[in-house]
Amino acid sequence: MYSIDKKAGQNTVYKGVASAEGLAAGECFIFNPQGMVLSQRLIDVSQVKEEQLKVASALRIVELETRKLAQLSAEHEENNEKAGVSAAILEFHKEVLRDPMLIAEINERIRTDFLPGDRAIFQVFRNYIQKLEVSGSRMFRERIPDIVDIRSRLISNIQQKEMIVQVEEGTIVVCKEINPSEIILFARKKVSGLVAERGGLTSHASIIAKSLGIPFVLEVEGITENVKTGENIVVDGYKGIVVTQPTDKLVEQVREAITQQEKTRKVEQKLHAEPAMTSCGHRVPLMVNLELEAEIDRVKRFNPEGIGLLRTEAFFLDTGEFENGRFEGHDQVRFLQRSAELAGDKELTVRLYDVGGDKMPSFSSREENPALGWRGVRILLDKRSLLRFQLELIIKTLRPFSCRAKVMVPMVTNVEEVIEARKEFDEVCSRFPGRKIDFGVMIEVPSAALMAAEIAPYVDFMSIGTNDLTQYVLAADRGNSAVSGYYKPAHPAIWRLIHITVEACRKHNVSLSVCGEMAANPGAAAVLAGMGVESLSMSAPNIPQVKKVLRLNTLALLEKTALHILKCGTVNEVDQILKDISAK
Amino acid sequence: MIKRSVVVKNPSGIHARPASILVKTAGRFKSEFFIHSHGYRINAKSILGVLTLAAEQGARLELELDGEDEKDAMEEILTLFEDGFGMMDEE
Repeated sequence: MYSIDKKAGQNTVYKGVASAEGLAAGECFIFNPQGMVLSQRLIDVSQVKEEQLKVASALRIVELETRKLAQLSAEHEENNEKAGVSAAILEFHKEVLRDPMLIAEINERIRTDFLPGDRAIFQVFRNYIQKLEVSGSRMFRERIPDIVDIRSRLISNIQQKEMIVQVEEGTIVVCKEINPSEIILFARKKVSGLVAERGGLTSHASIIAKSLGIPFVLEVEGITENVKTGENIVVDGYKGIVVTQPTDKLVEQVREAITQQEKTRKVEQKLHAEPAMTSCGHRVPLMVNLELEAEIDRVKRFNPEGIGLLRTEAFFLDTGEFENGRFEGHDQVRFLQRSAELAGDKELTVRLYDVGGDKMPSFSSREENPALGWRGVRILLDKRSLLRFQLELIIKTLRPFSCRAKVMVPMVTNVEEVIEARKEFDEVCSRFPGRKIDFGVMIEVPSAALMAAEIAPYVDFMSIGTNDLTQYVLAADRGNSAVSGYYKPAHPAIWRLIHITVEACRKHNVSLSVCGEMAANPGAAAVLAGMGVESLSMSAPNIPQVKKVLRLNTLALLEKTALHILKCGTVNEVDQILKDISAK
Repeated sequence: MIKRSVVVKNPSGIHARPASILVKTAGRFKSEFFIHSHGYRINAKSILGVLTLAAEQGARLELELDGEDEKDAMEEILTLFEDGFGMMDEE
C-alpha cells in the first residue's frame, strides 16, 4: 500500500486508536467547538416566536438523532454487555431533551430577556451544570459531560450553518473531541477523515463515522498543537495512525491506495446497479427499510427497488397530544414526500404507527408485559381519531406521487381486526378517490400466520416481520441476553409459519414480502425467495450481499432448498443449509 | 394533594439512571409531582431538577403529588424508592 520513509522534520507518525476504517490524505482543518461564539445581539419582540420555534426544532432533531444512535449502537453492540449501559445513557439524553422545566425555562428566557435561542439554551443549561458541579458525589458529576454534550448538540444544531460552513470537501477534520451530531454535519460537507485527541462520546462517534464511511482515528495526543489548518496530513483508520508533514511521495502513495480502494468499491457498485435476481433470471426486488429522513440520502447508492417498510413511529412522538384533537404532521408529510421521491415508480409501504403503551404516558399505566400488551393495531383501533388522522395524512400526501403506495397495519392477531382496520381505510380512501392505494397487514404474530388464509381475502398484500414473529413463536425476548440462545430466526418453526403464509397468499393472489433481519441474512433471504416470497426488505447496507447470493443460485435450487428446510428438525440443520447457500 | 416522606435506599443515590426511571414513571401520571429537600421544591417530572437534588443514599425527601391519579402515582413511586430503583446491589 504505502511505506513511511524516515526523513528529518517530515513524516512524523502519531499513534492513536483506530476507530473507523479507511485512508485519507489532504489538507486539515482544526475544528475548535470551544470557540463557538454565541449570538451577542438581543432579539426583537417580534422574533420571540421564531426563536422559540428554532429551539423546539433543535430539541426534536437532537432527540431523533439520539433515537437513531440508540438503534445504531444496539446493532453494533448486540453481543456486548456494554449495550445496556449505553442504552441507559441514551435514555437519559432523551429525558433531558424532554425535560419540561428545562424547556419552559429556555422559552422564558427568550420571552422575557429577549435572548436568542442559542444563548438561552447556553444559560439555562449552565445553571444546571453549575448546580451539579458542586454536588459531592461522583455519580452526579459523571453526567456533566453528557449534559454539556446535549447542550452543544442543541446549540450547534441551531448554529450549524455558520459553524461548519468553512470546511471544504475532502478536508480532514482535526479536533480535541467531536460529538456524533458534529460528525453528521461534517459528513454533509464531505470531509475525508477525522482525527480527535479525546474520545468524548467515543463509541457513538465511532459508530456514526463507521456508518458514514469516514476514516476516524482518536486518542491522538497533542495533535491539535502540532498541525495548522491548511497543512497536509495522512490518516490511516486501519492502523490508527496520523502522519504530519508528510512527504509528497507519501501523500501520493496514499492517494494511489485510495484510488485502488475506490476501484474495488466501483465494482461493488456495479453490482448495486444490477437488478436483484437469481442466476436463471427470476426477479426478487430487494427493498429498503427506512425510519428517518436523514437515511434517505445514504441508502440511494444501494439502488433499493422500493421501500418495503417505512416506519412512522418517530413521528408518533411528534403528533403530541392527539387526545385533545391537536395533531401535527408536517414532519411526517415531509418524510413521506421524500420517501415517495426515492421510491420513484416502485413500491412504498408505509406502516402505521407501531407503538406500545409506553409511548403514551397519558393513556397507560405501566404494563407487566408490554410485548403482550396494548400495542400496534390494538392502540390504533382503540384510538380511532389517531388511526384516521394518520390514514388521511398518508393518503393525501402520497396521492400526487407515482409510487405504488401501500399502507400496512402492524401487529394484527385476528381476522376481526383486519376487517375493522380495512373499514377505516376504505372510508378514508372513499374521500380521496382516483388513487389506488393497497392495504395490507404485518404478519408478526403466530396467530396471524396460522390464519393467513382467512385474512387474505381482506388484504392486497402481507409482509412478514420476522423479528417479532421469532420472539413470539419462540417465547424469547431478543433484547434479553439471558435467553439470546433461544432467539433463533432460523428455527424450523419460523420457516413452517412462513410456508403457511406463502401458501395462503398464493391461493388468494395476495403479494407477500418479508421485512426484518431474516431478509438481511443472505442465505435465509435466498431460501425465502425459493419458498415463494416475492420481495424482501432490509436495511440498505445488506442489499449487496443478499443480491450477490441470489445471483449465484437458480430458482429451482432455492425451491429445493426451501423444501429441504421445511423437513428440518433442528436449528443446526437449518443453519448448515443456510451457510452452504451463502458460502458459494 | 398528598405528601409522603421517603429515604433514598440504593447505595449510589438518585443518579442518572434512577432519575430517568423516576421521571419516566412520574410522566405516566397526570398528577403534578414535586420533591421537597432542604427547603427546596423541585418539579420531579424534570430530570435535571431531580439530578440537582443530588440525593445520596440516606437522604430524606418529601414527595408531593397533586392530581386525579395521585394515589396510584404515589404508590408506584414509593415502590420505586422501596426497591432502590432496582439498583440495590450497585457499589
